[in-house]
Amino acid sequence: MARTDEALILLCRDGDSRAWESLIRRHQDRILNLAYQFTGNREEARDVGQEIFVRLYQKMDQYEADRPFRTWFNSLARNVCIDRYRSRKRDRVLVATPVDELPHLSSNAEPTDRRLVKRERRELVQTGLDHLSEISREAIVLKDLQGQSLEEIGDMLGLPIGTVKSRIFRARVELARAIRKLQSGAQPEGSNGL
Amino acid sequence: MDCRAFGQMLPRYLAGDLAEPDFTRMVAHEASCPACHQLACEQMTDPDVRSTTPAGATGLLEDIIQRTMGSDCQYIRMRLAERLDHDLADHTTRLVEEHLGRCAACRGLAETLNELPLYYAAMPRLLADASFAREVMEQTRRARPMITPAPSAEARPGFLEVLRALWRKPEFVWEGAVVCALLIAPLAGEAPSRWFRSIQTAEQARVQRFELAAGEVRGEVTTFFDARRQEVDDTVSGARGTVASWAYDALDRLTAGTSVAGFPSTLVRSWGQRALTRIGLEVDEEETNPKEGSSDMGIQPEGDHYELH
Repeated sequence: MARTDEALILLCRDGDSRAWESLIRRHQDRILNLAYQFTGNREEARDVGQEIFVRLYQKMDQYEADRPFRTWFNSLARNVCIDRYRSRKRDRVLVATPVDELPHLSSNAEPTDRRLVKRERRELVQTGLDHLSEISREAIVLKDLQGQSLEEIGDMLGLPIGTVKSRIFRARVELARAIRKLQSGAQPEGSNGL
Repeated sequence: MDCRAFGQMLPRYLAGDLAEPDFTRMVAHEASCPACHQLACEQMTDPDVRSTTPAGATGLLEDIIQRTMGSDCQYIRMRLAERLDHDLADHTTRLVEEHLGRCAACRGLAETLNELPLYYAAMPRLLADASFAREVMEQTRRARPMITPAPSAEARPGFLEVLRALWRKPEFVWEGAVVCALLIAPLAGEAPSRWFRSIQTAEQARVQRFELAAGEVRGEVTTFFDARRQEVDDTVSGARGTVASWAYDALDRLTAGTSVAGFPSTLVRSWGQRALTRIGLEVDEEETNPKEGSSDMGIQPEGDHYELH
């Protein structure tokens, strides 16, 4: 039988390196994608993902056995992503890529290939996410991209469910508006990107 | 297009009533002019402007919503976003549909909102490569060396790593292998039983060959030792006869009062008696003992009274 996350993290605290490796391999894809969705950059996502596991390693003694590991780990991962998000934001000023320079973003373009359509959508949503506020981006990532439940997000952020819903709905509207503006060739407002 | 023309056409632009090529010009101007873009954003969200709503079209329900919850566009857009998670209540759905029927801006936004799952699906799905976990293990080993390094953490990818992964990580591999074997065995029909029978037959033949060879060897050994036993018996019998003749001769000499090689007769007689005893002969003491008072050299034989038992 596969061990639960809770059992593995307790073994890790006892110094079981195999349990630690199992835990990494079980969550590495999800964490890597979470980091990518926050950063929008593959290389940086890899660094952030590894940093998340290092942080988990350093803080595993703080895990309380009566709490679901996944919720606790998600909270820790989100904190690392937010820290990186803010530090990046301080380090640089986002210069939004002119829409005309974005490949396949022209509103007149009529891509016939599905791959081109998908690529265009990917670039639109990534650029749109870069223009969202920290709160809105976080809401989109956690709910729509990571698929976490409202309860998990509320528990993680320490917010009531109603507030979480409100943030998510508002974030979707912001993202949709940003995408529409990009499609129309306009520059989205409120450039809060990473 | 200049800012003045943009402002004149802005209400129709926001209402979605603007036809081409004016619409494209408005989009291009808004993209290039931050001031006009700001104006458009303000008008889109300002409940007092609400130029997108035709006069007299506001019903009682929307009027209440507007007064209590702000712009109906804002309210509708939040419901549109909510609609991605679940169906709305009937009356809310009706309200949304009514609004979309006359608000082009919200209608366009609704289309994009409905397509958001497609945009999400276009996001790449990253998979960690084999070195990801290894690098994390390296970093954490440095950070907190209390965890003993696992053999698998060594940088030796390849066959051994795959074996280790099979042995350790997918906990159901061995159970799965057993189940698969149980499922496949009946499909194989008679083959397994024939295989087992052939193994059994070969083993039995080998045992039989061994037993036959062992019996032959045993017979040869028995025959060999039987022959040697007879020879030994013959040899022992011959030796006994020789020794006995020597003893008889010695006794004869003793009884004849003859010394042997210069030794005293009593000593030679004791030797003879001991030799006879050794080979299983008993000597009549009366016949062999020298008489009292006789000297070693003065023993007189009184007859050949000795006998074999």
